Amino acid sequence: MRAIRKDFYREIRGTKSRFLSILILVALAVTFLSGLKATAPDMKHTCDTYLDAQNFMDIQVLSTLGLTGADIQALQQADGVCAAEGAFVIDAFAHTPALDIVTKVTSMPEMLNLLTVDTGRLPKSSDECVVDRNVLSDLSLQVGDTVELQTEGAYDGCLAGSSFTIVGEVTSPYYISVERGTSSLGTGRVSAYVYLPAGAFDMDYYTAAYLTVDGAKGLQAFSDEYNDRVDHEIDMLTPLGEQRALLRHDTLVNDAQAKIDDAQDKLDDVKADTQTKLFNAWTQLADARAELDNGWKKIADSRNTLARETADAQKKINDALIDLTDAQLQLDDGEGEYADGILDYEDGVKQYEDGLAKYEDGLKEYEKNTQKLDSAAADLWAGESALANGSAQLSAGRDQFAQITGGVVQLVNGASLASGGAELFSDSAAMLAAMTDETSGAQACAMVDGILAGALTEEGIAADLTQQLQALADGFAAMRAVLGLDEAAGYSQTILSMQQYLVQGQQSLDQNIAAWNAGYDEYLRGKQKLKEAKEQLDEVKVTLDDTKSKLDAAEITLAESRAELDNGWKEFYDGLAEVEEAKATLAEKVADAKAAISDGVRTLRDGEVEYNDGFADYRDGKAEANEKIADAEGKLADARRKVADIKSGEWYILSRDTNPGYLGFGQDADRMANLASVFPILFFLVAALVCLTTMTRMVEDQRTQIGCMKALGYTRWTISRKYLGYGLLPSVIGGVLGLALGYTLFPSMIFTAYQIMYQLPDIELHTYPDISLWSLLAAVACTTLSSLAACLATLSSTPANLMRPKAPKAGKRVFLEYIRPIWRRLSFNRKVTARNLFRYQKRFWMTVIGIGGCTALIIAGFGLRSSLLSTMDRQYSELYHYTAQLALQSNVLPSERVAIDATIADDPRITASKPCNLSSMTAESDVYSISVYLEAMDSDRIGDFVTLQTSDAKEPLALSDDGVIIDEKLAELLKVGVGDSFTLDGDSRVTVTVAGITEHYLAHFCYMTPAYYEQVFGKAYTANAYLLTLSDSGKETCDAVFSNLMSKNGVAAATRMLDTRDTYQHSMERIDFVVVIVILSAAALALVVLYNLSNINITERKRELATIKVLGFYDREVSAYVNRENVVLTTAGIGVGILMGHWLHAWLVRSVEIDLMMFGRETDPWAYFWAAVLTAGFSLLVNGSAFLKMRKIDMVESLKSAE
Amino acid sequence: MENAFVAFRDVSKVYRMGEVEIRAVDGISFDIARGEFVVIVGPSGAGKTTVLNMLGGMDTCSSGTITVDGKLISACRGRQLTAYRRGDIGFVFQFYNLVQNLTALENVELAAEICADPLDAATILDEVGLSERKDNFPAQLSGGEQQRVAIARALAKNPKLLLCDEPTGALDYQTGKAILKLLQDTCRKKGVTVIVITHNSALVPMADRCIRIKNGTVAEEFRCEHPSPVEEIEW
Repeated sequence: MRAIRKDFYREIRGTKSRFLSILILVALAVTFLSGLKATAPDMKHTCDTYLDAQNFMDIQVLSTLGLTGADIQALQQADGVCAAEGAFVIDAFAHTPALDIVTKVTSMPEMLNLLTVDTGRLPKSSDECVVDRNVLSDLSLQVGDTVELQTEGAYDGCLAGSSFTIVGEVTSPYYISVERGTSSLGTGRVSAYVYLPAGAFDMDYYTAAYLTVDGAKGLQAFSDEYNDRVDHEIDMLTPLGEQRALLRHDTLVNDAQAKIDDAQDKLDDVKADTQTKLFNAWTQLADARAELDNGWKKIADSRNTLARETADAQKKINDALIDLTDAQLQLDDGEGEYADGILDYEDGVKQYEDGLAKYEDGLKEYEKNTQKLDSAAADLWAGESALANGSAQLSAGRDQFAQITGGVVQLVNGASLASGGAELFSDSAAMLAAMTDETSGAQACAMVDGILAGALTEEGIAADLTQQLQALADGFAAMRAVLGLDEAAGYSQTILSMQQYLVQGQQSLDQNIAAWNAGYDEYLRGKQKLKEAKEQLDEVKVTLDDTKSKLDAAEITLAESRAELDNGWKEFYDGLAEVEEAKATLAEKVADAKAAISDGVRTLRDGEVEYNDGFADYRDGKAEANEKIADAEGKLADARRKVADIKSGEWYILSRDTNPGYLGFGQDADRMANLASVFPILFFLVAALVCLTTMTRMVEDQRTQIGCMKALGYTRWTISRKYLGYGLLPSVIGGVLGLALGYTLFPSMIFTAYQIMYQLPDIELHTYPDISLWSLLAAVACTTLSSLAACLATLSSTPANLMRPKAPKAGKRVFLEYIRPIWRRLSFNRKVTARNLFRYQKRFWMTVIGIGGCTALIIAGFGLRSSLLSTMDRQYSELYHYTAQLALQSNVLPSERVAIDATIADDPRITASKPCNLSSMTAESDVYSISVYLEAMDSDRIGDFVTLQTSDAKEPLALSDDGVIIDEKLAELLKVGVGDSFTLDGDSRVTVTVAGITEHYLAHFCYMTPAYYEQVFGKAYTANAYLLTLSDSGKETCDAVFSNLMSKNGVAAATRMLDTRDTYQHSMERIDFVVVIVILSAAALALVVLYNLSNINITERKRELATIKVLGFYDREVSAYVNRENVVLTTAGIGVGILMGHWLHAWLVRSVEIDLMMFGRETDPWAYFWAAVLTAGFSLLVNGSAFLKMRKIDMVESLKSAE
Repeated sequence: MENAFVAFRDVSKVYRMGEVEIRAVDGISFDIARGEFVVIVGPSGAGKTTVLNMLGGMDTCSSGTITVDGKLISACRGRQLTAYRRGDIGFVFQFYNLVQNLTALENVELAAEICADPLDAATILDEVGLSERKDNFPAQLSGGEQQRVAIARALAKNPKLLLCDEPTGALDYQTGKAILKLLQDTCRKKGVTVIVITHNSALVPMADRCIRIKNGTVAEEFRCEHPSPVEEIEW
């Protein structure tokens, strides 16, 4: 057996690199597996030990109305409660002249949540305090310095003093994370904590109670058993809580009510007293008023009487005056009449005398006229005789004329032998004959005229006659011409003058006759007039006589009238004197009365002034009293309202999960566990695959030796022992080494990173039998079993068969050769490479999968890292666009809201704001239930604050009234899709429909419109929060804006989004550290795997390589001959690795995710890049080492026979 | 023989195994003329393979000088030796050492690829009588055929010196003879200097020159003016 053992050791010594690579692979795999697996439990153990040591509470009880000593006592005595302690917890500013920070101020614990003193000591007196490291670092203070604590708002006056000496720096198990919680003070973020002795508080109730539960200490924190125990206890305490809360409420209400009643009584007394006093004053004022009014009435009466009397007197005077005036008028009339009478009389006398004179004148005229008439009659008669004389003369004239005419006729006749003129002349002769008629000359003339007119044209009588005569004359002339007789001229001259004379005589005769007739008429008329005038004169004589008698009567009447008038005047003047006297008396009386009235008025006015003063006093007094009373009543009403507002108290019995540090740590540990659940297994698989390949090859390489041994008669067992041992030894050594490293290195390194975020003592390292067993078993199984299997397969053959060199695997044409165009173009070396690759397909795939696995691990590592880190970038840079969130108190008043709105609108640093309703609920479906935020807001400008879009296509989603938009992770957890519905459980249980699924990474959100909110919940929508966009997201701007907003009533908290982001980012960075470890491990694995595979390759082909060396290949050509294959294998491995890595990353991201968060699911292209670069780099490194190895290959090897 | 093609002068090869010095070759001297068919013969462990290694540029000598065609091989190291192997030497192995993954033609090409003045691979294969088997993989060929491929591979480089290490060692009698015939014909027809290393003394008569080695020294060296044709040799 010694030979066998020697062979075994020599085998190992001869194949050190193979042995070591198996050992390292196993060690790496086991380290990784055990290390990651152990980290999460180690973290929890460490935390548990620490919390147990500090007697950390299991349950925290908060009450809306505070907790009394009796409440604590009741808790203490409750079943299952191990210990209970009350505490005062308030928020206060820790103040130094330079800076204020918000702190949680808690009373020193005595039993539970014990502090660890890092430096200094615990406080001894009530003006000392201990603080956490943040107070010292933020405020630049040191132990021994003094810090000022300032309270305000709800906590105003809760501290007895304000200045405290810092006597120590402590760590509290209550705040294991760097998060210190939120506050309604300042920016809303608590920076540090301070512990004071209970005596430093001036409060009459506890704000919190801490409990430990029987039996919980023995259970490990975060474990299901522990959670069950605590949950059970919470259920047990719930009834007690309800009962105690009710009691507390009643007590508070009763106390307050009693106080209010007292105050009300006092107020009522004061009210009654005031009423009485006011009433008295009022009565007095009323009396005074009545008196004054009376006085005014009297004055008015007096004035009226005076007026009336004066008026009467005046009237009488006036009447008398009127009478007198009338009398005067009558008298004046009488005087007038008398004067008229006198005048009439005198006129009458004058007229009478005038009439008499006229009468006598008339008489004289009459006699003169009679004489005149008589002379006229005599003239007339004389005229008559002259006329008759004239007529006779005329007739004589006519006769003469007729004689002449007769002469003419004779002449004519004498010349009848003459020419034609004779005829005309005959006519004239006829005419003249006619004129010789016996009738008057006038007639004869007319006849001549008529004849002449007939011969000539019609003209005036004289003219006609003249012309006739002219014509006659002409005729005569013609006749003379004919006859030649001068005599005819004589005749015509005579005729003409005669004619003229006759006409004139006739005319003057006619005129004289007419004048005479007129004179005669005149005479007749004068005679008549004279007769009439005589009659008139007689009448006048009668009238005159009558008048004379009347005038005498009138003279007597006038004398009588005069006497009457004189009498009247005397009476008139007497009356006048009387009236004057009455007037004087009246004026005197009125003056007296007026003086009396003025006196009265003056007195009353004084009275009025006094009264008004009194009234003003009264009014002021009353107003003052009313105001005081109203004030008091207002206060009472406020107090009553407050009492009414005292809500029925509620106890919150909370487990450790509400402690942010504890919860966060648990989640981090779980995330760690998630990471450990998949990643190392994959890692392990790759390592195992390579080990398996290596061992199988090894056994196959040694078939000759195995055949030889078998031929020599060794049993199968003895033979296979070597190979089993060869597999077992490195895997056991590597496994143990791996466990040792894994249990110590990984948890310590990872926990150190977590200690940056959590104030916890150093890690407790544990070993875990199950992890140890399984990882060792798996490692051993992979190497040992694979070699055993290969061994047994080989051993089944006959020794003879085995000792003959294994028929070399037949070369064959590879697929590629049949594609002639490609194959022809390949260089000779490439053809060789292709042949080689395709020839050993098993080896090809093993190598490709091995390399691919490593690449995939690196991709997953890098991808996970970028997913973790990009999650916050995507959430806060691409999905959230607002800078800050402002939460209002639940009972904010409308007026306060208006003030807040105004503040937001007025602040120039706030560029946009959007009100919304934010509440926390539980989303439930058939498969899952989880806490979600309900965010209801209108869809207007929603894109400026939150981007809602599908995660793959990035299509924008619009918020509609048809349903809610939920985040991707929530949809995944609840297993709901668009159109499905699920339940929201909060104050009420409602069912909502999914209208869209949005890209979202952090926490769970359910977005809906106000309309849908009202439709679903059946209650009015009111905003309770604001999303704010600030001009600058920097801390200083935010703090300034927050301070401004937080000073408003009704504002609960303001959160800067970047702060939230940072918190998560820190948590992510802790994981990042783990991921870096993963990447490094994967890289190490990749290196070992590549090295091992290359090693196998070279060992297997030593002879071939030696041959080509002998053929004269340069070293580089030899290495290229092999490495070309490696390059192809690596490239293929990277390709496969990228596919695997993509899948692995997607799977891993989901596994590592916690419910609260979704990581970026997309693999960062850089992850592929780095994985490819790293793998290629390792491949180059390994090729380098292969080159060295190949140089060392002895060419003599080629001369040996194939084994 | 001042103008010998190959000249060994007091060549020794000493292996050091810890304290022990093993003199594999101890002061060997011999000359070979151009175009000779040389047989180096000796029992196992006599040092003939060491001689072959040094002559083939696979190993260096500890002392003495080796000259091939006027080139001082013993002074060459590393890359120079590789260049020497590549340009001047054709090697025929006892176990053929063909690359299993390459066809007959490709195996020949493998060698032809790397030298400056190669002969056409297909022609060479025709010459060694494998016209029909060019595209066969080694596994599809008999031993003699494989050795022919190996010889073709060596000849394709158009070497100055063809070194054959027990070329018939793995072959049956008839095949062995055929191979030897091929080698002899090659020497005669192409004027290539052929050196065959063998433990089989029966081959001595066919050589132009025979060098017998024993215990690391040249026991006998003679030139045969009338070498027998291969057909006449029996063993």
